[in-house]
Amino acid sequence: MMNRSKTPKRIRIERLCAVFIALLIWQAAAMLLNETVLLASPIRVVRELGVMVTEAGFWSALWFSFRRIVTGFMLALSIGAVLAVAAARFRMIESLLWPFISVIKSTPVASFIILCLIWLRVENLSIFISFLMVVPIIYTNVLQGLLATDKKLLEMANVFQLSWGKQFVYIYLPQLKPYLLSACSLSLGIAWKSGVAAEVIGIPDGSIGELLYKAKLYLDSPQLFAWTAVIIVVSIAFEKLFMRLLHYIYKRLEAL
Amino acid sequence: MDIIISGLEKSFGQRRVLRGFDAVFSKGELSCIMGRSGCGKTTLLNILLGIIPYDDGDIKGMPGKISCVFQEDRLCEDFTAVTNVRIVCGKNVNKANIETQLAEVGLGDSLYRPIKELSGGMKRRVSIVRALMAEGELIIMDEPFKGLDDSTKLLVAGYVKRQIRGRTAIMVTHDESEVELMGGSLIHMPLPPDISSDENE
Repeated sequence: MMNRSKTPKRIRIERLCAVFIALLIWQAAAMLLNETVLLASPIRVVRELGVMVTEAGFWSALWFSFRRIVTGFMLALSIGAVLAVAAARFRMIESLLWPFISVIKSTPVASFIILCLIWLRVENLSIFISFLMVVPIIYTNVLQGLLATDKKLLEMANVFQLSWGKQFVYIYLPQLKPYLLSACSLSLGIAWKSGVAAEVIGIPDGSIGELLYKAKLYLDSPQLFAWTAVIIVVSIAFEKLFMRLLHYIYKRLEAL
Repeated sequence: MDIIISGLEKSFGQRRVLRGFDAVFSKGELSCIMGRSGCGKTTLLNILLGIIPYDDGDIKGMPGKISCVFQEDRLCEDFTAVTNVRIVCGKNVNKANIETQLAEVGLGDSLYRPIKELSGGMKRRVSIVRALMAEGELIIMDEPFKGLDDSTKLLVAGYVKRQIRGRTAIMVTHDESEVELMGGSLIHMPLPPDISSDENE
C-alpha cells in the first residue's frame, strides 16, 4: 500500500516543484509556437509586468477593482449572514428566500452581468455581481451551521437564562466556525472571478476589466497574461489575509 | 415554598413514562431520587427544567431561577473553565471567586484550559461548579458524580453540600452510597406499569 502521509514541508516543496515544472512546460510551449500573440512566454509576461507596475494606470486600476470587489464581498458576508440568522429563526423566511437563492445559484454569471448592465451604472456592476455570487454561499453555509447548532447547549442556555448576546458569542459563533471559514475561503475566489468578469463585459473606465478587454482587443497576449497573474496574486493574497483575520478573531473570542 | 408535584403524567407516544407521580421537595433541602433505568427520572427533571411539557398533573412552587448539572456536561467546549462558569453568573460574581471555587474541586491547575482539553471527570466538576455558582433557587443534579473516582467524589460532595446549603436541591442517582454521602431525603421512583422489571434488565 502506498504511504500518502506527508509533512507540510514536503508538500510545500512538492508544490513548488510542480509550479516550476508548469512554468517550464509553458516556456517550452511558447518557444515551440514562437508566436507571442498566441502564447506569450512566462519570461515575456514577467517583463511586461515589470513595465506595467511602473505605470500610474496599473495601481489606479488595481485599486478601482479591488475596492469594488471587496465591497461586494463584505456586503454579501454581512447580508448573507443576517438573512441566514433570520431564516434559521423563522422557517417562513427560509421558504421565501428559497426561490431567489436557487435562481442565483444556478443562473450563469454572464446572464446576470448583461441584465444588470441595463439596471446599474457600469462602475458599480462589479460590486453587485460579486455580492450576488457570494450571497448564496454565505447564506447556505451559515444557515446550515445555525441549524446544526447543538440543541442540548441551547437547552442549557434556556435553563440558565443566558442572554441572546451570550448565546451568540458562546454557542452560535463557535458552532459556526467551520461553516464560516469554508464559506469565506470558497467565496473570496468567486468574488474576484465574477467581479472581473463583470468588468470585462461592462468595461467601466479605469478598471482591471477594461485593461483586460483592451489587451484582448489589441491581441496583446503578454498584457493579458500579466493582468491575469496580477488578479490571481491579489485574489490569493486577499484570501490569505482575510482568513488569517478570521482565525485571529476566533482566537481572541476563545480567549474571552 | 415547597415544590409539590401531584398526579404528574407523561407519555411518549404509546409509552407512559410517568403515571400519576406525586412528590414533595422541601424548600431549602436536598432530595435524592433513586429508581431503575427507564423509570422516568430524567423525564421528571426535564419537565421541572421546562425542557419538555407534561401531559397532566400539577406542579406548584417552582422558583423562577433554576440551575442544573445535566446528565451530559453541556459545556462550551472552545472556552475555558472560568469562562464557562462566568457566563451563567451575575455581575456581582467576580473572576477570583470563580477561580477559588474551581480550585476547591481540584481544578486549580486547569482554570484557563479550554474545556475540550479537559478529561471527563474535570468537565463534570466544571459543570457542577457552574450549576452551583449560577444563583439558582432550585438546583437540579442529574447523576452529578458520574465518572468521578472515589476520592474526587468525596471532595466534590463536600463542596456541593457547602454550596447548596439553604437552597432547594434535587439529585438523581443510581448509587445508594451517594445518597448516604449527601444526606437529604430519599424518593424512590417506581417503574412505570408498562415496563416490567425483566424487560428493564
